[in-house]
Order: sequence, then C-alpha cells, then structure tokens
Amino acid sequence: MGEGFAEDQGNNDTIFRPSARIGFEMSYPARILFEPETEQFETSIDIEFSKNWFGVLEAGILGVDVERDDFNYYSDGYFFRTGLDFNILGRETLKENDVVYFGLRYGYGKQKHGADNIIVYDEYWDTSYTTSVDGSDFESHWGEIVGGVKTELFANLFIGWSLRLRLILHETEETLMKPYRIAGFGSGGENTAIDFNYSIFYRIPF
Amino acid sequence: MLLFTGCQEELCEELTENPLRVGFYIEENGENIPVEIDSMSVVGIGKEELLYDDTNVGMLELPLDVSRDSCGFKFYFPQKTDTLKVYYERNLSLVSIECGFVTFFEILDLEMTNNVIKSYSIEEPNITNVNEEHIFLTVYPDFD
Repeated sequence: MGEGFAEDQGNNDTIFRPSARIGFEMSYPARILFEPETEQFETSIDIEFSKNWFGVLEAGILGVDVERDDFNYYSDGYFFRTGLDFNILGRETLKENDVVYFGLRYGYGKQKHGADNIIVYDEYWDTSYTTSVDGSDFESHWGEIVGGVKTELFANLFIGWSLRLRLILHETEETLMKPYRIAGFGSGGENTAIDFNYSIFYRIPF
Repeated sequence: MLLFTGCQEELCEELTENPLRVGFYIEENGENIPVEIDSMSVVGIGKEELLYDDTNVGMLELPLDVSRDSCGFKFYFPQKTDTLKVYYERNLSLVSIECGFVTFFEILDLEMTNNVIKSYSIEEPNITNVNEEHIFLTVYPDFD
C-alpha cells in the first residue's frame, strides 16, 4: 500500500480508504421537459470518513416562473441538506466501491416568492382590479430518510439513484401564499414529500 | 385528460368559493332556532340583478365586492324590507397554481335596519373557502 491513504486491516477483512465523491443530480434537468415552469439544480459531495460511513452535503438552487392569464408567480431560492449515509454492502477489497446505503438528512431551504399581474374579478358586482403580492422570504427545515445505491461504471465514475422521504420540521408561517415548490423539498403546502433522484458521481481517492 | 380537467375545475370552484353566509334564526327561550323565510328576494345595493328572487331560504350566500372594503344588500321579506351593510378587510390568497388567487375577507363591522331583523351576531369573522355560516340574523317572531 502506498502513501497518501489510510488503511485499516485490523481484522484482515476490513479495508478502508478515505475518498470523496462529487455528484450531479441528473433528473432535475430532465424534469424541465415535464415541468417547464420549475428549474432545480443540485450537486453533492460525500466523504467516507470511516469504513462504510459517509458524511454528505447536498446543495442546489430552485427557480419557478409561472405565467397564467390572471397572474404571474415567481420564486427563487437555494437549499442544502447534510447528514450521514451507511453502506450496508460492506467491502472486502479496495476495488469494491459500490455502495447500497441508508441515511439521514437535515434539510434547509430559503426562497423569495411573490406574484404580480394578479387580476381580481367579481362577476356579480362587475368590478375588477390588478394587483401584486410583494416578494417575501420563506424558510423551511425538514428531516429526511434516504436509501439508494451507487454503482461504479468505470474507474471512479459512478451512477446512482436514491429514494427519499421528507418531513417538514418547521417553516415560515404563511397563510395567504404558500410556495408552489419548496427549494430542495418538493411541493409547497405539504408536510411530507417523496422524491427520487438519479445522479452521476466522480470519486476522488485520497 | 378531459376528465382530469373537469375534476380540476370542480375542485377549483370549491376552493375559490368565498361567499358571506348569513343564516336566519328566531329566538325561543334564549336559544336561536333556524328558520326559513318564505318568498324572499335579495339584491346588492347599486345593482339590478337579483341574487335571490322570491325564494324560500334559511341561509343566504352573498358575494362581497372584491374591489371595495364594504358593500350592501337589500332584503325583501314578504311584508317589509331591511338593508345590511358589511365592512370588511380583503386578503388575497394563492389557493394553488392550478386554481389561482382568491379573495378572503375578515368582517370588521355590520350595519342594518331593524324592520324584520331584530339583532345579529358575527359567528365567524373570517370568510374563506371553508363552508360555514358567518353571520346569524335573528328575526322578530312576526317576521312573515
């Protein structure tokens, strides 16, 4: 074994080599085809700091631009999630880099959203006016359970998917205009969300 | 797709309904008993189109003017008339991206004549898309 990485062969069946993996979420760009009003991009980094234990940081941005006949709605924000993954696959040799994992996340999102060109019309009184709702900040905190796989296609290049269950822990009190999409979470106005991610990763061995 | 659109329209109609609901009651032994008014007509003050035309009603659903902070209604009972003026605050709410915005109201004050209507109580000042009565109007025992 060369210098520059650590080894742990205390029981002869445990091999640990610290590494970092950067990832790019691939499903969000594809979702634009089906939801052209919502754009979200996300990257991640995970570091195996102890055998089969990974520290994870995921971060991204959200943009929403909805145009209707009687209103326009907009929202821009960012989010991050951080937590731990545990690889249940184990590893017998240094070459086995595939992982099947479960993990926990804490998520935080902040966005500004508002609406303009709102046309309010009353049929009986035959009155109408145009107004707007000024942009306001909306913050949310949530917990998340995640499970997924990461498979090494070529040397240090991985693809992977994950399934995520999210639960809002706290969010800005907003009774009149809840966000259409909460950055990094999912649909606004809901306390829970299920999400599916598909990503590619590049592993940087230390 | 058509079915989906139809369901969506129905759901939006339900979520954006925001009338002022006024129930009629008669007082008996200190209790409010629901009562039905026969042959009643209602019109918005300043309008010609009737909201109710010679109808038997126990509860009225009245549209508040979304462009002003007050509006009034004239009640034509079988024998007499009364007017009701409602003062309110307006709050725009985004129901959903599919259904758009709706105006919710908070009742601030009421003014009325007392020919048939004896008294009123504001039971629920917030008028939203929740289906509930907002105002109880108690009528005199000999209202008809």
